[in-house]
Amino acid sequence: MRKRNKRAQSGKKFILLALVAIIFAVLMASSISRREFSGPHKLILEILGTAQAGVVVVTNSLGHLWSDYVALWDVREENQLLREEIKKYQVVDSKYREALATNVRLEKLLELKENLAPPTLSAQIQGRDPSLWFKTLTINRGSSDGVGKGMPVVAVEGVVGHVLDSAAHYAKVLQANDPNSAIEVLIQESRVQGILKGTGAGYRLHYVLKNNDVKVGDQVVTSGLGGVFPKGLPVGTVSSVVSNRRGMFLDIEVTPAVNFERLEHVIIVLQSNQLIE
Amino acid sequence: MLTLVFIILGSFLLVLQTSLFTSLPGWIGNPDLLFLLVIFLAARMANFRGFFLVLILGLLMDIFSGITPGLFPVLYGALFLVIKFLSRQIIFDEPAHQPALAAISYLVCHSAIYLYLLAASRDIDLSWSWHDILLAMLIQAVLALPLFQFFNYLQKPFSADRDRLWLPHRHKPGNRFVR
Repeated sequence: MRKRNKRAQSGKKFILLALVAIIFAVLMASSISRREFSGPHKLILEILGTAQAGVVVVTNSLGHLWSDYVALWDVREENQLLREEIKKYQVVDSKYREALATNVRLEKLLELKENLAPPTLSAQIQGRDPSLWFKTLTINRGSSDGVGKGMPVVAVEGVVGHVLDSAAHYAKVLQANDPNSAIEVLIQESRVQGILKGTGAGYRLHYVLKNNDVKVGDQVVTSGLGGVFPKGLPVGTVSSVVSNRRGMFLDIEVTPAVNFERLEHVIIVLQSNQLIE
Repeated sequence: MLTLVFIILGSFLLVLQTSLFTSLPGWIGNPDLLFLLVIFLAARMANFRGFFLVLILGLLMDIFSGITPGLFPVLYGALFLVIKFLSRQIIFDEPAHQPALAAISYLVCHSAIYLYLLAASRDIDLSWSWHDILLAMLIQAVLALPLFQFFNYLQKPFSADRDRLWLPHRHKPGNRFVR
């Protein structure tokens, strides 16, 4: 009984296998003859294709993740390099701006130098007076450059002061706003003359009679009478005019044309000072 | 050697305060380091050497400041004598006294310059600014302690008892009966 059942089962398997082989052979034959996928081909392709797509997506994602992670090492280094480069360029940019500003300043100085009676000499400020009561400067030009006592010192904006004393390569300049300084000036608009004295911070104009017309905003220039400064150099602007009850003169305050704190370069007019000599 | 060291130090401080410090913002003021050195010398240095040094430092200051040659040597010399006289009554080695000494000396010296300028020229336009003076006094007082420490440190190796500094010290107990 058992043997009969076994033979029947193996016969069914053989028939099933033969049927599958025939169907396969028919499908293959039809596909080859039409040179295209049959329905089952397409179905299987769809299923496996989707699976493949899934695998590809995952592998690509992992691949990108890996490559991105690895690339980060380079990016970090590159980032550092770029930051350093930016810093370098910022320094270069700053130097460029400084050079540009210096160039503009020197251009103006040159322009002024050409306008002044020759000979003139440009100088750089080396130091300033540390005291509260005095306003002096040290410049990098001295007697070896022809700089002598009493020579006027000017800047692009106007009068700076005069040379107080000089060594071979350096000189000391008394600023016009020093309380010990006095310059003969005139008011450009009204041609009123007076003596300008330093107050430490600014100037005060002395000996201008009350009947003179002096207004706030009037320009004050050198008169050329003192024999130290050439005529017409700007000195400052009138900032206040007070007419007191007592006295003959106006109380006039003048704001300096030069910002003494920011001064870097000056021009020395190499003229001998007869008064000092 | 010590004299030379202090002259070089004074020159360095003067250069510093006439170049670098002048570009500092106004609210920081203009610290006068050379003046602090003068006070230190007056308080700590022996009479003749100290007096000689403050005169030299005054000469240096004359070059960079003011318009009357000789003003600062006279001023520093007078300050030296006054501090020397006062040091017989007050111990200036105490750290608590040093900022006050620096500030008051600064006030006295600058008042003297102010009075001298007023006396020297009748029509000078000089105004006294308490704001500037007090700010400068405060800066001098603040800088006095660290600078005095530094000057002291600098002075030690050159002091007369320098040989003793290198010998091992025998620490004696506070109680004289304990051996």
